[in-house]
Amino acid sequence: MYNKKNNEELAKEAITDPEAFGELYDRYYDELLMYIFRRVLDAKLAEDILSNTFYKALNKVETYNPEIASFSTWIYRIATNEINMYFRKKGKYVVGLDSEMMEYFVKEKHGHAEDAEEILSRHQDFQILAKAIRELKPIYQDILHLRYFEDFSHKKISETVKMKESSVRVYLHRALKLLEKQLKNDANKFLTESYGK
Amino acid sequence: MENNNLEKNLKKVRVPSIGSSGHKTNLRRALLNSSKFENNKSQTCLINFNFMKKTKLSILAGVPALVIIFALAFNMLISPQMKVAQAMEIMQNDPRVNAVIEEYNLQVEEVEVVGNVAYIFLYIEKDGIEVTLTVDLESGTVGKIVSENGEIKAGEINYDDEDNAFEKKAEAMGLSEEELKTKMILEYKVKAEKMGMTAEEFKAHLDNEKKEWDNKSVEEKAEIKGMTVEEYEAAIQNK
Repeated sequence: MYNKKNNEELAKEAITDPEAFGELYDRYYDELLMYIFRRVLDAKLAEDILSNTFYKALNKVETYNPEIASFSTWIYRIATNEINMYFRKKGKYVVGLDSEMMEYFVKEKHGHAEDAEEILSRHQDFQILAKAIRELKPIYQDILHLRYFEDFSHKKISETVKMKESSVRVYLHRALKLLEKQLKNDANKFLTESYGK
Repeated sequence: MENNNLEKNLKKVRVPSIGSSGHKTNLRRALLNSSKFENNKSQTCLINFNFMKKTKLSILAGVPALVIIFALAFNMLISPQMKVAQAMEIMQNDPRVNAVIEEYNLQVEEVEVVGNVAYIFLYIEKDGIEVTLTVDLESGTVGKIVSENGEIKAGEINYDDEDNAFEKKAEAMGLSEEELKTKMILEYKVKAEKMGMTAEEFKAHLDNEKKEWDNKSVEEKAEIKGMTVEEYEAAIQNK
C-alpha cells in the first residue's frame, strides 16, 4: 500500500502515521547514510548524524511543503545542515586511519567487481579529494559534494542550499578554483614532508 | 590542473559506500515508536473514549473522569503547543529580533518551553552557527540573541570599517582576518542579491548612503540614532 505512494503523499501521512514515515525512512536511509559518510569519512559519526537528520525530519515533517521543494530536496537540506552544524561545533574533523576506513568500503557505487589494487587507488583518489574539499567553506563543500558525488542537478542543489540557480553555478565555479588551489597546496605539503625542502 | 580537468576527475571518481549495520533497524524502531506518534495514539484513545461516551460505559466512567482526562490532555498536548505558538508570536513581533533574523537569515530549529520561559533555537542558514534566544511568556519580552561567540545584534557588520577596526573585529569574532574577509564578502554578495543589485550597484548604493550620512549635521545624526547630541558625541568618541 505505501510503496505505491510518492514521497510527498507519504510525507503528508507521516505526520500521524508511523508506517508512512517508515516507508520514507526505508527509501532514504541508505542514500543519506552514504552522502553523510562521504562528507565526514567516518562510519560511526555518519550514523549519528543520520539519526539526528531523521529525528529532525520526524519532528518537522508537518512543516514540509511539497509546493516549495521535493521531499528529497527537503531531507537532503536537513542532512546538509546537520553536517555543517557538526563541523561548526567540532571544528575541522580529523580523518580516521585509512585502514579503518577501508573496512567500510565494502561495496562500490556501480557494483562492478574490480581488482583490489584498482579499488584501493580509486578510494585513495576520493580520500584525497574529500580531504581537500573539507578545507573549503561549508557552502563550497555542500555544492561540490551534491554536484559531483550525489549527482544533483544545479536546480536541485539550488533548492537544497536555498540559493538561486545562477548563484549555484557561480559558487560551483569558485569552489572548483579553490579546490584546485587546495589540491596543489596539499601536493606541495606532501612533497615537502616526504622529501624535505 | 585546469578547472575542466578537475571537473572531469571529480565526475570520474568512484565514491565509497558503507554497508548497513544494525543501526538501520534500531533507528527505525526508535523513530516509529517515538512520542510523536504516541501522542497520536493517545488522541485516538480520546476519540474512542468519546465514542464510548454514547454507550452506557460513559455513565460508569462519570463526568469527573472526563474532566480529568480533558485537563490532562490540555496540559500534555494543547498547552505546550499554545506556549510554543505564543513564543513564536512574541518573537515575530519584536522588531529588534526581526532585524537580526533578516540580516543573518536565521532559521528556527526548535522551541522548548520550560515553565513560562521558551527557548528558541535558531541557526544561521549559511554556516550552521547556532543561536539561542529566550522569551518570557509571562511578560511577553524577548531576551538577548546569543551565539557561542556572544550577543548578536543587527547591523554589526559595517562594510566601511577602518583597517585597524577590522583586525579587532576578527579577533572578537574568533576568526582570522582572511576568514572574516571571506565572510564579509559572502554577506556583501548576499545583501546585494537580496536587493536585486549587482555587487557594483550595491557598493555605489552604500557609498551614496555614506555620503548622505556624512553630509548630515551632528544634531540630525543624533536624532536618527535616538540620542541626545552629547550622548551621540560620547558614543563616537568611545568608538
